Amino acid sequence: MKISAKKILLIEDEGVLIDLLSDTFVNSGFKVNSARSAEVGMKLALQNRPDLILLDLILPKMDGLTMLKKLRQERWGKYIPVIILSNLSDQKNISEAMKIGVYDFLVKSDVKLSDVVVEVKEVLGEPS
Amino acid sequence: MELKHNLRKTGIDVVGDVPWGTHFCQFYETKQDLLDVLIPYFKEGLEHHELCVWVTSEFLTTNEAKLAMQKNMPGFSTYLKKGQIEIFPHTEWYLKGGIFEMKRVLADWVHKHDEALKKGFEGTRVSGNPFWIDNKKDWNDFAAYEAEINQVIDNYKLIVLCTYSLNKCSSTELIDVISNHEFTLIKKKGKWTNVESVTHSKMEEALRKSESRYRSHVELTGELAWTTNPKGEAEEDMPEWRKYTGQSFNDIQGAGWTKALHPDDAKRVIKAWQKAIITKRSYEIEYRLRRFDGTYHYFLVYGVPTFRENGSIREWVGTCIDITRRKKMETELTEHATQLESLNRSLKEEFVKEVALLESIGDGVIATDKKGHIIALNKKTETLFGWKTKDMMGKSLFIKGFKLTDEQGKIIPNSLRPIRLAMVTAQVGHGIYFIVRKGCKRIPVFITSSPIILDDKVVGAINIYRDVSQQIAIDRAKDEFLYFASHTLRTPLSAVAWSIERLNENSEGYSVKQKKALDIIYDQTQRMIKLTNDLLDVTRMEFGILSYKYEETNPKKIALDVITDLKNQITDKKIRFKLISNHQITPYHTYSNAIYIILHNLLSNAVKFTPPGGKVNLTIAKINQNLILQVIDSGIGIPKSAQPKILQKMYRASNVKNKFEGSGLGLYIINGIITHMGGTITVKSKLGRGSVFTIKLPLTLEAIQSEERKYL
Repeated sequence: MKISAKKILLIEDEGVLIDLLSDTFVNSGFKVNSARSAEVGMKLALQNRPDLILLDLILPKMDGLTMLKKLRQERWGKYIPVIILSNLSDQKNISEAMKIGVYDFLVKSDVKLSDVVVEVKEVLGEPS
Repeated sequence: MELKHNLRKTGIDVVGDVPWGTHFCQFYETKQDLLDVLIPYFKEGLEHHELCVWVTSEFLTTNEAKLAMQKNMPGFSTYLKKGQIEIFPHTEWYLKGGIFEMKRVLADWVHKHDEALKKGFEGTRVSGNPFWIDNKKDWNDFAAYEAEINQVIDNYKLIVLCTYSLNKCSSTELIDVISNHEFTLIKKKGKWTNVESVTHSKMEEALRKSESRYRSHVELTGELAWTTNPKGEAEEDMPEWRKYTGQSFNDIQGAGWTKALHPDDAKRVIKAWQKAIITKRSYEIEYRLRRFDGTYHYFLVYGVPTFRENGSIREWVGTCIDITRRKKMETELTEHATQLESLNRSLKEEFVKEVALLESIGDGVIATDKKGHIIALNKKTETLFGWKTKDMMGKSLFIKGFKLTDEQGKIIPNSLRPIRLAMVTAQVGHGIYFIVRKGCKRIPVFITSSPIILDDKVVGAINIYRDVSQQIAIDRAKDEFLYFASHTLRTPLSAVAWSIERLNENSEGYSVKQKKALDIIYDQTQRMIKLTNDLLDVTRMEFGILSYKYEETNPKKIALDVITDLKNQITDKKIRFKLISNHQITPYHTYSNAIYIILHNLLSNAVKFTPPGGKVNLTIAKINQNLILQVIDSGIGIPKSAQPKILQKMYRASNVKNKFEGSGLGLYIINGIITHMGGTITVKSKLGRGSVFTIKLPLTLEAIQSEERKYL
């Protein structure tokens, strides 16, 4: 593990998916933090200041887009790269997310784990 | 005969005989003037068995009167003793009790008259002298008394001669005296004259004057005066009638005047006229009369009989009034009335139709006046608001019973209700609101409020309430299904797919069999994902909620994206793929995701159904304001019988059914999208040789653009 490993915050309520994503990114040399709710995710984000956030939309209580809006209101969270990783794929959600400001909108069932890693590396300027 | 029998001799030469009930007067200047008239007057009365009463004055006293009588009538004393003549001063008669009282004096005269008849006299002959009068009031009272005598004297056997001093009378008093007596005796050049003839001639002149006035009146008003004899026959001339009708004097004689009537009216008129003559009743009728120029005019005709003293008809007089104008107005009025009535009837019909129309509408409809008071509504509103029609009528739409809330139950302020928009801005206001009713669930309604505009002013509003409970329930079910399909179904699929991916990362320890099994699991998971995605797309398309992304895009770039997505299949099957386009293809505004879905479906089909080593060409072109996408493959082709059906939902041709994976939804979805964009899709295919799909999409999506822009 490199000392200068980039930090990724994973906000996802499905345990199986957290494990799969978390393992994959750790294997690829990232430091991974995960949260099962938007509230916890928000707290961790402000505490740990990750380099990138992978955000699900359907979450208990507060949903992903609401959290994203709040994050963008924070001084620190204004420009932090966020990639939506969700199985909701209707245009309404995509447009809304793009409007608030996200790097990309990925549909879980349509992407491979390796695709997600490639994209994250691309954003963070890491060699793939 | 009877009249003659009643005549009495006055003893005065210029008067001669008069009937009972005669009231006349004399103007005198000297005592001799008085005696000239009164001595023969009373002498005649005494000799003809009448009671005589002489009321004297200071001018000629009682004694002077008696002396003069005795001197001129030898047997006078006997008459006086007998009481046939009474001579006494005015103080014992007019001024009995000190003042003149008209009623008392009249009663005294009547009493005297009745006593005379009782005593067997023929009647009573009197003379009075109002010389005593010295003030205006007494004069006026006395004039009234004289007038009263005129009113009643006909009923009595009385002859009254009033003597007035000419020197005491002013000119107006003179006229009073003359007008209150039937005739007046005045001494002219030493001879007594009866001035009755003078007045009479004056009256005749006045009558002529009045007659000519009447004629000019008749001429001015266009009335025609007429007279006939008692039998209804024209005898006298009727100048206006002749002038109007152009008939000659001879023409109108007898029943000749009826020739000027309208032939259709003549019979009716003659009948009515005959009836009037028989019944002697007045006659009133309308008829058309022919004018000298041959035109007919409406006249209203009145006629009355004038009677002789014996009750027989002397003549008929009447007048014809031109009522053509009135008649014309009447006709016009009648026409207007008819028009109004038919208008009223058609309005009523309209009303009935409107009511039927209102009732036939499945939505609640409430019409209000400009203040928001209900003026009309239909039955459906009863079920929506839970009120009876009669209870809602006239109520304000802004009262509590008609309150609206939002989805959360918060009351919508009146100022934000659609009816306000309609009233204030004269625009159509609409939106989804909720009707709150006691003991019921909130009813979601789509309300449309349209202003009623009359002469540029909002005079009311029509409010339509569409119960959208069902639509909302459907929408909810739809949302729930889409959520289920996209999230709940795809999440475990993602977990499986990603797990296999992780397994495959380090596959050195697996046997060939295990590896193959993993591949199968992975492929089937991908297939499941593909089916789920198709299901999502088809559902969205069918519900019309497939979201289109309207943006500037280059179809060539989308094509390259699709090719990248399919790169593995193309490479695996060694397909010779060719993209044909030119510099004409530049970015433009369209639904980018729609183009992607179309190309992805067409190209993945082409690759799927083309055997390894085959050819797939994609041509992108612009022709006549259309974007043309053409996919040509050298695949297995579509059987002729299947060609018309391949766009149907879940249809799969026989030659692919069991050999190729698929849902039968791809072409169905893209056909829906293409149709939505106003484009067309055509297929040409030969079994075993290949297929050609040609898509034509308009470059400008005008018809739908404005509608959907608001979602973006």
